[in-house]
Amino acid sequence: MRSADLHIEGVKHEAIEVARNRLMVPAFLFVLGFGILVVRLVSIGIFEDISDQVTYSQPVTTEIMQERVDILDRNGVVLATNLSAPSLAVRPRLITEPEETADRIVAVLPDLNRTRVLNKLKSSHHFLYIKRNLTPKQVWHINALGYPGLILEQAEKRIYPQGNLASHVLGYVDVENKPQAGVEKFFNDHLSNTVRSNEPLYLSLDIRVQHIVRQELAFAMNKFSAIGGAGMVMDINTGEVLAMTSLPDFDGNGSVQPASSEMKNRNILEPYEMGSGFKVFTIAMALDSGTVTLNDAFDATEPLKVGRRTINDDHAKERILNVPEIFTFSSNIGSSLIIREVGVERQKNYLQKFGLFEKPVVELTGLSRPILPAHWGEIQSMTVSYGHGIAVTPLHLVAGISAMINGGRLIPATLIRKDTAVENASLDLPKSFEDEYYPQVISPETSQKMRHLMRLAVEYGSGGRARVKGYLVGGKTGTAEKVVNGKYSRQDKITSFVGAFPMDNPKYVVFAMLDEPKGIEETFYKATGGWVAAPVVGEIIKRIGPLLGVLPREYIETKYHNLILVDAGK
Amino acid sequence: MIKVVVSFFVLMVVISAGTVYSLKETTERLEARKHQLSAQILKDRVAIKVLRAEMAYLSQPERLQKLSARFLALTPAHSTQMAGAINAIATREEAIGEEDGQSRYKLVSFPVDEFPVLLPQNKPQNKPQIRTQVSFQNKKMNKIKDKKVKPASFYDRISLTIGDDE
Repeated sequence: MRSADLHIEGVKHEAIEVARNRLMVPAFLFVLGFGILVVRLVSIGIFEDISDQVTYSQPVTTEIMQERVDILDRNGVVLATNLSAPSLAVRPRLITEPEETADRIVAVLPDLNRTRVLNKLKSSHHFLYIKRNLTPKQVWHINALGYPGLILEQAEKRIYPQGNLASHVLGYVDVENKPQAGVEKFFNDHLSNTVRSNEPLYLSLDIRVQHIVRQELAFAMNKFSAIGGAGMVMDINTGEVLAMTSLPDFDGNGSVQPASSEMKNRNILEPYEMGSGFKVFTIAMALDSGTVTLNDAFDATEPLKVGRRTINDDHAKERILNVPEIFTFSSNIGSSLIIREVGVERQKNYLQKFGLFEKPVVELTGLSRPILPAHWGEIQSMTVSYGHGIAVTPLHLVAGISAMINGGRLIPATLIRKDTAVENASLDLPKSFEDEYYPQVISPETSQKMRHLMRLAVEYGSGGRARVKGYLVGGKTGTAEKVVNGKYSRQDKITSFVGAFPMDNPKYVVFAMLDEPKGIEETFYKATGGWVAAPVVGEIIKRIGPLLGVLPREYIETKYHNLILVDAGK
Repeated sequence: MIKVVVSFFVLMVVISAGTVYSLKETTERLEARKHQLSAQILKDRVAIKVLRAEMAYLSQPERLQKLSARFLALTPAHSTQMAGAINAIATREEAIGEEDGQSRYKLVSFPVDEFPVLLPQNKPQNKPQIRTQVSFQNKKMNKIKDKKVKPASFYDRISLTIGDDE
């Protein structure tokens, strides 16, 4: 029995053995299958990139991306920025009750016309804009209405928080945020680069100085009923423009009429005959070339007749004048005689070196070429010597005058903040501004003499109203008759004053110009540079000197004052 | 033997599945948190940008000048107020006047009232005629109490002396 059992068992055992062996195959397959699953699961969980798996989320960034980069002044004050200002649009087919919707929209946006809004809501179009550039508050109210047919489309608006203040430097953008003028246009490659959203453009402007220049200019413009004005403050050692203003100006936030007179940046756009300001160049080239020394004297007794022309002095002394006197009393006859000594070719060479034959250099569009005499003979050479018959932009004059007193280097004007540290880091060079190469247009010795002469013109000459207590101011007035319909006008004048301070170690050039000022009782009905523009520069220096940290110093007598013969009683 | 192997594998599958699940769950939660934080940072940055623009708008030099002339007894710095060296500064004894032993330099400030300082874009017709309403404690201030306040126009320069009648 047992053996039979065993036999049976033996048979069973065989079958069971077979079954077991066969079972191993699916069991192995199962284990293999699950094993693959486990391996895959682990590999997905550990090795594969998570962001590929997480499909519900969008790529995150904490950096602001905006259409246009901000513009800041040298101290980081916002001059131009982009803010989100969504546009309100409508899908009329999703609007069920147009009348009620229109009422509510007009309640939020009161400047809209209800009938027009209603027409848009009822129209058969797919999509219509109702209003551009909503404020955050309006956006909130529109969202609160909760109409699915109203759509807020993301958009950005260029904002100029300072309004009119630096409008001519900044320029403006049109409705599509396309730049139309100024720095906005010149630096468009940087400003429109969304990747550089967090690299704001630092201008060299100081908004406080800009405000002072604009306010003083506006005050003088109003006082003398002038039709326009221009003012600039420039650092003579770096060429940075701290203020550049042109009046009348415009507000880049509002609607801008591109052709109107407000759009004209008088500092760069229009060449003017600068008048006596040019005598600085004449005397400088005469001294630098060695043809004339400070002790040389010229006969200014009578008006000078050259060909059919007669050259007169505005403040005629009717005696023999030496070079400092010619400069101080602004003698046209004297400077004509000096330039005769210098010669036409040498005069042209020097003026070219001073950068007066080319467009001015600055980071703005719409720069104007100077207007030079068509034929440059002896007569033209003489008129150019006192700033007539040649028209340059104020920027030419300011950059040129800077070179005359900063030691003789012509440094191009710039509107971008010069930051030594940043510049050195990017160039990886131990470089400072002093080492930078700028063309030496006159010798440092001549430049030194020009500083003294410009102080003389303020202390004893026509620029007396630019004197400021505590600072040694130097400068030169300029009055030129305006060309109206191809003829010189007796009444309409361009008066200017270009000054610098402190003259013992010049730091800043200050320029003011007024277009067609009218004389008033206070000025004995005179509208010359000395009466009109010099006080503007004086006031500006008085206010910006302490602001820019220029240390005042005690009055010291001018070096060449002994060369000057001043009228008794003056 | 097989039982042991199978149960081992089953256990492994359960454990690894559990680990992977919890890992993914944690990651997703962190991911969501990261999104939330990033969105918040971005939102804050945008708000800061708006605030900076607003600050620039409200601190326009022209407006500040008017406010300062109205509410502060401060005048623009003058070159005579700057000293190049420490020796140039007056000592305390020097600063005290001879007559009554009091300091020659008095610190005064104007009380804040409802003087309307218009922002450049406000329409002129909104100009309210407001008289100063705060009661003045300082006797000297009484002089300007009932004077009508004329908002300064753009062409008015802020005079350097404040508080005195013309």
